Amino acid sequence: MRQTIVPFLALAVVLGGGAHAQTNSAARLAAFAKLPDWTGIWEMGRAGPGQVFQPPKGGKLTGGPGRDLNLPYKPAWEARYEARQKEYAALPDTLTPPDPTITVCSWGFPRMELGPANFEITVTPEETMIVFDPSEIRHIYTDGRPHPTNLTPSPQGHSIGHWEGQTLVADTVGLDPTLWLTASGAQLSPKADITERWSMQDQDHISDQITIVDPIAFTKPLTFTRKFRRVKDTKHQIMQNCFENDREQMKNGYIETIYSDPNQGSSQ
Amino acid sequence: MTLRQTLLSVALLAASLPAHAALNSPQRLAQLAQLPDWTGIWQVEGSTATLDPAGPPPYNAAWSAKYRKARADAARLVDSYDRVCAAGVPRLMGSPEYFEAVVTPEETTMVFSQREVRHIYTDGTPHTEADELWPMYWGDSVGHWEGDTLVIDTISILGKEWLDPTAATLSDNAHIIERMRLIDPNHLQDQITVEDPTSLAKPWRFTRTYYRTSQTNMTDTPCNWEIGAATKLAK
Repeated sequence: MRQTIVPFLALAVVLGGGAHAQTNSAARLAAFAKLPDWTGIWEMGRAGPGQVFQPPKGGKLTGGPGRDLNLPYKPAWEARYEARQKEYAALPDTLTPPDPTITVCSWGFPRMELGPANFEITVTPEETMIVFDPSEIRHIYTDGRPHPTNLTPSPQGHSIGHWEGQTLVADTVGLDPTLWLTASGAQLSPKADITERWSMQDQDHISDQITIVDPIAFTKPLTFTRKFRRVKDTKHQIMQNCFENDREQMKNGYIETIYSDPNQGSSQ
Repeated sequence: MTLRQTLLSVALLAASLPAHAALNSPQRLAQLAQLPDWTGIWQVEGSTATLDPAGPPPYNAAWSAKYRKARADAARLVDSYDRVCAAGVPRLMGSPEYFEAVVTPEETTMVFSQREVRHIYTDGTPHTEADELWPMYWGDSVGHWEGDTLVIDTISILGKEWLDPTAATLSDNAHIIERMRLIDPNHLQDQITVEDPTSLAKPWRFTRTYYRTSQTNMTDTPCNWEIGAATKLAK
């Protein structure tokens, strides 16, 4: 490989001599040469590759992607979560729990990777960028920067990473703890620290081993793996806008859907 | 070396190799060598009051009348940007949202500060097939490189969405051609031409320039984001 790269680096030096040295520098090309090519659109596998969670215990975490994720909650967090489950189970059919994916259009990390959204990955020497089709974007910076000291919590948090061979090791902190980890309302604490190991299994499969360390909410680290397959029927990712055609409104802290057809349910 | 030792050596070697050797190919590196490096976070210069700082689009007579009425009503209407948290194309290119531009052989991706994304595919694929295409905030963009200039062709935008706070709009038939290039290490320039036989009397041409900001981390929040919003709503 080294022999095949040298001519391209020499070409870069020649091309890079323009007025503003606009083309990629030899150093940047050399960095690209050590990186994997994960170009493409990826989605959650269904039967097989993506199904790696353990079966649910006692029906916990029901209702949506991630339902079979067993969270090692401390007793106080477990009790709070169970109470929330009872509260939501008692809601009338016209109301649904205030899931942030609806109320503030944010799945956030790591929940976005538990769901059905497809994503496009772009690997550069400076960062690996992951664009999910509901317009949520992760930036995993690999240029050696640290996490900011004064970090404002956000849906994707702040991610830095490094390469171990062709495995991207990412570390994420600064997640907004008000977002939900699952559709059933599980949450993490502000101290959650998530490590990932992204690697390509074969040409059409990529995986992410996720370890959540949360000294406030968990009794022990939680590790699970998500596997994704290449989308082959299109090369163009079509972005969605969650805010469009919004038919939900808040009512007493819950979500009420406004139906245009009164026969479908509650309406104004 | 015994057979057992040989097999062990092979197994150790296999274990030391990556799961799937997928380094950037020499062909992809050759393509990267010809592409510019736009790494950085950029923000528009000049006024953001209108998409074209020189004024409104060169509307035809019918749309001029429509625009005069909309502009008079703009103050009491809800800007579509506020309604759906999306500036869309072409408004994004004159909006105060800063953006990151990532150039690869396959596409140039522009990610804006309030979670809007432009995919400009440069891999030779055509526009999305007509039967799978509908008007979208960011339209459908393909591009190609002419030297150091990215030529972008965008169709299928949502014409009804405002171009600026004056309530200027286009039709869904608008066709947008952009020529984007680095004019010095710290400035990107976008020469924009909008053709819209439905609303415009002639092609609308203007240029916007973006400066390299000192920002290093992108944000990932939508326009209505409020920290703790989810908790407040859950009470």
